[in-house]
Amino acid sequence: MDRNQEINIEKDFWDDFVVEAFENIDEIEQNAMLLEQNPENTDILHAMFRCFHTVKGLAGFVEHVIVQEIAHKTETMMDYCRKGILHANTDIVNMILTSADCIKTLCNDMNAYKDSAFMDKVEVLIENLETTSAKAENSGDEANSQEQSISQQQAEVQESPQEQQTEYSQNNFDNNQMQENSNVVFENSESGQVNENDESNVDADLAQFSSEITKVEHEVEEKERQHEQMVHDVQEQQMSHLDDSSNEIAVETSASAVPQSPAVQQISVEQAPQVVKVEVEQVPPQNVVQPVVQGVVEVPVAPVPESVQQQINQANQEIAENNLNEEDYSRSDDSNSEPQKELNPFQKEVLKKLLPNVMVSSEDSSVTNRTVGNDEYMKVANYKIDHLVDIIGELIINQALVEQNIIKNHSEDKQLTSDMSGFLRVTRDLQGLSMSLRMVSLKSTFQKLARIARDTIQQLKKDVEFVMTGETTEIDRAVAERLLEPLVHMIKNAISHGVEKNPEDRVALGKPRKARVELNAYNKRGKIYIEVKDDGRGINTDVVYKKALEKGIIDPDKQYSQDEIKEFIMLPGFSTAEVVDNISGRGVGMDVVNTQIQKTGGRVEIISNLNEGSTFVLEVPVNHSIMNGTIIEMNNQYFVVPTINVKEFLQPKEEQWVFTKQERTMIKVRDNLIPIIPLSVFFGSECEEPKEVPLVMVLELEQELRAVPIVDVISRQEIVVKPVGEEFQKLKYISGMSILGSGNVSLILDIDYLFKKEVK
Amino acid sequence: MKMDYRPKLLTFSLGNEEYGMSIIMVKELIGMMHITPVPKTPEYLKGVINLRGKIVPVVDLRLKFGMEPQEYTDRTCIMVVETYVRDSIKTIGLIIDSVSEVVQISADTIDPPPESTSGIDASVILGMAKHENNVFIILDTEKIFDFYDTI
Repeated sequence: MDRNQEINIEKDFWDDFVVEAFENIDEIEQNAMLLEQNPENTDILHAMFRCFHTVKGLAGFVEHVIVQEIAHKTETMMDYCRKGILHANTDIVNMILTSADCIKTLCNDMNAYKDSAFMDKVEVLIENLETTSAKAENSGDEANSQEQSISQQQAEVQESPQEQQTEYSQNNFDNNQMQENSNVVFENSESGQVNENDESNVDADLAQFSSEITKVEHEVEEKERQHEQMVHDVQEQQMSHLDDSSNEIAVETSASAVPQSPAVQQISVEQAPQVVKVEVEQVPPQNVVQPVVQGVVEVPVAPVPESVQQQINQANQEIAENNLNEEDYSRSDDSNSEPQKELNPFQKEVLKKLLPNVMVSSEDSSVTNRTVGNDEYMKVANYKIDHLVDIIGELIINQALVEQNIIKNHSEDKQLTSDMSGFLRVTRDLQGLSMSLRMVSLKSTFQKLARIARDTIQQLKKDVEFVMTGETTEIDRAVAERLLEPLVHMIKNAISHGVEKNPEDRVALGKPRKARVELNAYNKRGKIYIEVKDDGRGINTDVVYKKALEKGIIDPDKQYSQDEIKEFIMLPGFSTAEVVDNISGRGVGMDVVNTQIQKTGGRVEIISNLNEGSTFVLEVPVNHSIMNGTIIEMNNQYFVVPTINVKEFLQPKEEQWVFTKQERTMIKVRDNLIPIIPLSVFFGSECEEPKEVPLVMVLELEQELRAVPIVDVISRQEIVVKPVGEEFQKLKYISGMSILGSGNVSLILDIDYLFKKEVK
Repeated sequence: MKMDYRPKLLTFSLGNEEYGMSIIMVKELIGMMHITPVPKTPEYLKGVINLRGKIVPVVDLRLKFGMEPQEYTDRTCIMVVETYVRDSIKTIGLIIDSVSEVVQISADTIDPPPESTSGIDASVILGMAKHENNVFIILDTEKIFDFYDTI
């Protein structure tokens, strides 16, 4: 590769390229890890091959030669894996992942190729890929000769007497499948080719489209295989039938080629089962072998006996049903109805009306349906969704204003009140729907974590099984984004600190040699829980206590409970790892986790038993932008406090107060001394502290308490949180704003800030 | 070359002066409404309002320009203006004494701001426009938004 070559990247397509490339790289990463577990699975290889190919094609658009080269070389190597010449071992998977990483880096930074350190890495990678491919090439010759011997065998079988029929047809069937696989690959590369060559007409969308096509092709392929199996079965029957009548049937023709013949291709593509029927029915009742172009042999067979015909019909029916089922599945929200077996035209009409989206007639080509099916998903820019959610939020607020007006001034108008309640229902549904638009599954987050877990395990050479559950759990996109970083820390921690360094230690404790790290997500009581669980050493509270004491981050005179000591590891600057490495041990990990999770309105819980393992549970709200708020009044102004942090309200008696320099500094509640947050925190130093405090609000955060003198509690309600505008970013005491039912804006107090030491 | 461009200005009064604001920037005019104060911010930043679900900060232009505060009357209104602040569009409400009219001025009548001005800081003045014997101070909206940095 020419290092000094200036790369001319086509910037017009760049953004599209990055998005598309990332999608494919994600898929590659995911599949690479699957492949590691199932090295023999060629489907995974095919899927990855397709992804690299798409990336290569896309890179052609933007004229990014390095990406093209990496993708190409990786493809070449994977081709050998696919042929079975190379075994997809860890080295191969590592190389594939490194390729993916390099492409990612190149996508992230348009100028990454100018970084010579990075390019060194790329060069090493390409060299590795080339050597591996070259090795495979050499050993591949042997495999070729093997293939030849197989075809010889075939020829022999063709001439051999009919005793071998069944066996051969089986053989042939396998062969056909092999051919078919390579056939599909060819199609893929063809579609990729179009992208590369036809630049004038084709834009980046086409590349997307072609990858969609390959997906569809893959499905079709699947179908084809099922179909093939059925046809095959049927034909075997036919053959056994024919055996009785004739000795002259050419075996190879009968079993054969059905899966390869154009007619069947058509079947599989169009999913029109009738074709099979016709094909079989129309063959002349002669046992003549007819050679057909391109190696495909047409099959003349005897008239089909009724039983076979029935079987074919049944098979067709099943396929048709399968189609129907699939349609049903993809639009499952529309209907749950069972597909009907036999329908007369009237019933079909009725069903069409009942299930307008479901294909009732099997005549329709399902390929067209599939293409239509692609429209079921649509890429929408995040900001548009956010905007929609905002607008619907505004709608809700406006509606609340109208509603209040009606209740106040027009309550006698029954029609208006009932119209209004109908309106309320619609907007409530609309809000629910709009919130669901922002929900994403944790899948992509988990995928990234799986990769990190894998790399960490490899790097530390530990014997760890990494298991994930609940990746389909849905969560607000904004929350999901904030979860990644903490989870990365937690998983690295679990593998490096949690799991014992020496597997013998595990065996000595009666634990299995292979450690297990779990990443689980689930939904409970309107909250999302994500836990990182290991069966390793557990937290040694003695060590933690000593370390915390050493670092001077705790009070040496205070008695701490076991649970409190466990939480020390989330204090800033705490780390028990002796060696600071690039995996974990910088002493910032759990601190970052804690802060990040608190920002989402969630919290971290640590469950740990010595030598049994640790579980870190993240509890986060499903939704970031709606919360239950308590509205309070202080200093003639309303404020919102997250209800979750409100412990109680109390009317203080004079003797409960603790004064320092005539200022109220503490309040004594049931033997607890709770610090008071002065009004100056909110209103600035010029604000006078009130002479009388009629009411005190007690706030709780992580077992700590604070008291705020207030005037009144107004109400408790679900509020829509709006972010603090840029102009107010520097105001620490508010975390957001909200519009109340009155239409007035209210400020949401930042609880985290109020519990900070500086506020005391 | 004579500029044929004739910008439209929305004119309004603050104290004894007439001001003009490019009408393209003005989103709407609303009467005085409840403003939620945001404590610990400069005095001229009166707080935030709910503009149909959107939370918009409101600046009292009198206070911003260092003029004497005045009781709000029924002629007082909030002029909602949109402008770019550091590459993103910001919406802000400006409290003005009263709104006057929309005038179309010729670009060639615009003069640079005078060296010294009686009331306000010259840096927020884009120029002086003449129209039918009246002189308007054209405000530089970006300068009005500089409070983004000061809070």
